[in-house]
Amino acid sequence: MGGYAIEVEGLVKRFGRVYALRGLSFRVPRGETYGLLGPNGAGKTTTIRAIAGALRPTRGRVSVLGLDPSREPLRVKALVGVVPELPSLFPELTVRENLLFIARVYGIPSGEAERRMRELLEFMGLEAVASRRYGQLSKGLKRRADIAAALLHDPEVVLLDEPTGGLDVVAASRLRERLAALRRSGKTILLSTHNIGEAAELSDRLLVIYRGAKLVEGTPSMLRRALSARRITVYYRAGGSEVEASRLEEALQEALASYDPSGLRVAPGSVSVTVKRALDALWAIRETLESLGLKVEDVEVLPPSWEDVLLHHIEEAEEGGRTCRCGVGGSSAW
Amino acid sequence: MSVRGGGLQRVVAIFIKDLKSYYSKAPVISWGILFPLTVIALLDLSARMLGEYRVVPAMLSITMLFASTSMSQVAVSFEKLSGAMQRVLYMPVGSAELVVAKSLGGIIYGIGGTGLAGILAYIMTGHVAMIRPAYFLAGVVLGSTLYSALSVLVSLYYNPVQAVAVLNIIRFSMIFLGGTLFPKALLPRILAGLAYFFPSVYITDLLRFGMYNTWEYVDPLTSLIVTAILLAATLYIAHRLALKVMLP
Ligand SMILES: Nc1ncnc2c1ncn2[C@@H]1O[C@H](COP(=O)(O)OP(=O)(O)O)[C@@H](O)[C@H]1O
Ligand SMILES: [Mg+2]
Repeated sequence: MGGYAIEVEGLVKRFGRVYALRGLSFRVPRGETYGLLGPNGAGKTTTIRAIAGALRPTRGRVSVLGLDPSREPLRVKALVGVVPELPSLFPELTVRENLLFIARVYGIPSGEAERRMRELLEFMGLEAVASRRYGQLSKGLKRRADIAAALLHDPEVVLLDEPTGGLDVVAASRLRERLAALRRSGKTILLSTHNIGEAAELSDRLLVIYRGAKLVEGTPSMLRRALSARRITVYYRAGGSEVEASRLEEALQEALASYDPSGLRVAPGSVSVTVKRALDALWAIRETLESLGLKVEDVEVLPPSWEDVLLHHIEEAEEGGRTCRCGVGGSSAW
Repeated sequence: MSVRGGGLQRVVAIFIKDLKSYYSKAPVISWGILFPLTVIALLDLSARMLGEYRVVPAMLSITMLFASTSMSQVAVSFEKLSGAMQRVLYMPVGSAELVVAKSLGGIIYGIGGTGLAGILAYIMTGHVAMIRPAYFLAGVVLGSTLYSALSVLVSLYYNPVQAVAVLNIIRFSMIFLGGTLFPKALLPRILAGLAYFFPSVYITDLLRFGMYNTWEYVDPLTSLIVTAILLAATLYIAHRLALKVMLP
């Protein structure tokens, strides 16, 4: 059966006076890995909880494998595996005891549970620590155990809430290898992260959310192409005269106004900015620097990094106030 | 794969896991075991002055209260602190199942603790009265269940630090005002009246009737009915609360 494993339509969630989600809509095709990308507080965890049947939407509709999670939370929870944002197994129990407990809760017969457990311990590289208490494991190993626990009942849909959050680069990169392998297994995966590189590397499609609303959606390469911008860095030398950074920044903002600038950084000896029509913008930057008595030494023009793409969209949204207006009504501006 | 097995299996799994994880935790040892033992030792003195029938049921009742509430509180609060409660919320466990599962450890501790205190009383006094064991048993089972469910309710509603404070207020008001530590005759009229607002009055009198065939505040049938109603109400509220926690 094809179609969508997860459908979210006009999802609004209000906590007291705070709107955590303001009319979010997206669909995840079966078997795909879908990246949910956004900075802290964007609404990623709230979205995952609503999909997992652990949150009642204020408004809007959620459907998981054809079921409404707030109406049939137990059925949805049985089909979905969740890796919560923070380590969440029982610290007093060993990894093995944790998995056996979870198997009992999901009613997995003991023979099958043993088999699944062995497979998953191997898959997540946990065999050596299976008899250690979860509470004593390193953060990276805890995350792997969390993922093994979420996969134990062989769920069709897996929701991962910032799985690499708080890990050092080595642990994070090892975990991403496992996640890439999981992706190949054909499960439907929703991966929340604030790391744009990770989202791009691991997802078939991704959705950037900000302040509870959709900023932009697409495949990783579409997203990058969507921005014809370039990241320009100009290295300069002070030709005798000292110029205050704030004055230089002001002058550059003015000169670049028509080039749609974002992420302007003024450092001693260099300025960098993401702009459209890079060649013309470069002339404008050079003129500005020289008018202030600064001399251009070198120039670098690169495609934007993922961070630039994200920042660009966020800045644009903030300037236009779009995330605020698109708010509760349902359809978002993008 | 869908969830196989019934609610009972899930309840038992959680209960066994809780026992394994929490029976040796500091608050369970100190509040659930050491504190009641101290009270028992102190009460031994007053037993000689006030009469055994007044003091022994009171000390069993206090033991039950502390043993059951401390275990249930730990079973909920520790999981909130460690983050494991998040995992539980994502598991296919119903709200009623969660309340029952989380109460079971406290019930077992309450019943076990009361039994232990009974043995201690026997060692200290050299004999134990048990004229109407059915009433005694009803008091122990209903009381442990009520206290345990109450503690689950408080621990679900409040954050772990608040829960400890609230439970201590409940425990100590039951000791001093709830008709356990002070016999009715020793309390000023107004405080004696206040005692009827605490479930400990009914539970202690059930134990008293079971052991000594006498009661101090409330007759046994009324005690039985009131305790059962309080229990049903507590379970109902705890269940509603669990629903709210699981699907906010
Ligand atoms: N239980 C809650 N009560 C009040 N506010 C909440 C609650 N959960 C989330 N929020 C708020 O909703 C917004 C989105 O939160 P969250 O979904 O956790 O974001 P993310 O996971 O992307 O960091 C934040 O502003 C957060 O403070
Ligand atoms: Mg989050």
